[in-house]
Amino acid sequence: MHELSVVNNLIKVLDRICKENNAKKVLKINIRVNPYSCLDEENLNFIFLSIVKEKEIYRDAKIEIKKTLNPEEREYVVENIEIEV
Amino acid sequence: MFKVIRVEETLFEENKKIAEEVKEILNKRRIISFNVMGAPGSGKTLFIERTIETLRNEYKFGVIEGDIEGDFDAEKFRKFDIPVIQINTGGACHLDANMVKNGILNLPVEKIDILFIENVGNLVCPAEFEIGNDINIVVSSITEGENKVLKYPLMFKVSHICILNKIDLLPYIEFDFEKFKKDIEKISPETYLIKLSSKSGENFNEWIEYLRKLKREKRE
Repeated sequence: MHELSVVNNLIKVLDRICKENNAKKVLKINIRVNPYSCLDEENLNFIFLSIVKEKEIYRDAKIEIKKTLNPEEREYVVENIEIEV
Repeated sequence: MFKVIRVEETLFEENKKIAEEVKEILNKRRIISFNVMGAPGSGKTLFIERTIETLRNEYKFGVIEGDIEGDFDAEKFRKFDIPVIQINTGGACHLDANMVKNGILNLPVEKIDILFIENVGNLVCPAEFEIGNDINIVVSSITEGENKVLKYPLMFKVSHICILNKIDLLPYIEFDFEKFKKDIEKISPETYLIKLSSKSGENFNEWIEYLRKLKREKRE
């Protein structure tokens, strides 16, 4: 349900990082979340693709969510992205 | 060429920044603030109403009401003649820091000791968003069943206080209190559990005393 706000923020971060690194294509986005977090990977990918479908650079990107073992970490952290330059 | 770029950035950076601003505004005035969360119908509004009713001669209250639609709940607080702001999230399932900040900017903060922020009824999303308050409360009622802690662990994990509401209905409803309590101790041992009824007032005083204690600690 809150995936939409997550995707909007994610795109802002990606736009900046891609520009800084002259990325041609983003292939993978690795996100780390709290072990109890309800962020859903499938849903997130679906919303992401619906929003970025016009943008060549993101069209093939796949988001992967990894749950940490630390319940204190309440953030959604973009760990790294895999790009083609 | 293929490259891995290390990012390590939170997706809630903006929300977090605004939550810090909210916190600063509230702390400057020594306002103690509660984010009241829980399922629709768990009794969040009545819980806040009874608290204000009980302590209105002792403290000055303010309320921010978060709902997807309507201002029925805000209306209930107007009888107390206290500042109330209704936020309609327009479909969003939770309050975020920016909505709360806009609410606070419209409140006479100099006239408030205790602020209740009633979040949108939902056990999932509100738990993920910081809004800059001091204390998180989850209101869970016995009519929802004892499995809520294990079904929605993050909500109980982020809550400093769990209000187990509607205990006046115990004679009519099967509810395994020991299991509920054990699950909380397992998921979130720091969460302070109070069982009460906002309707009949049963054990409501335990919460009132606890609130007074929190308020004293905030002042010091």
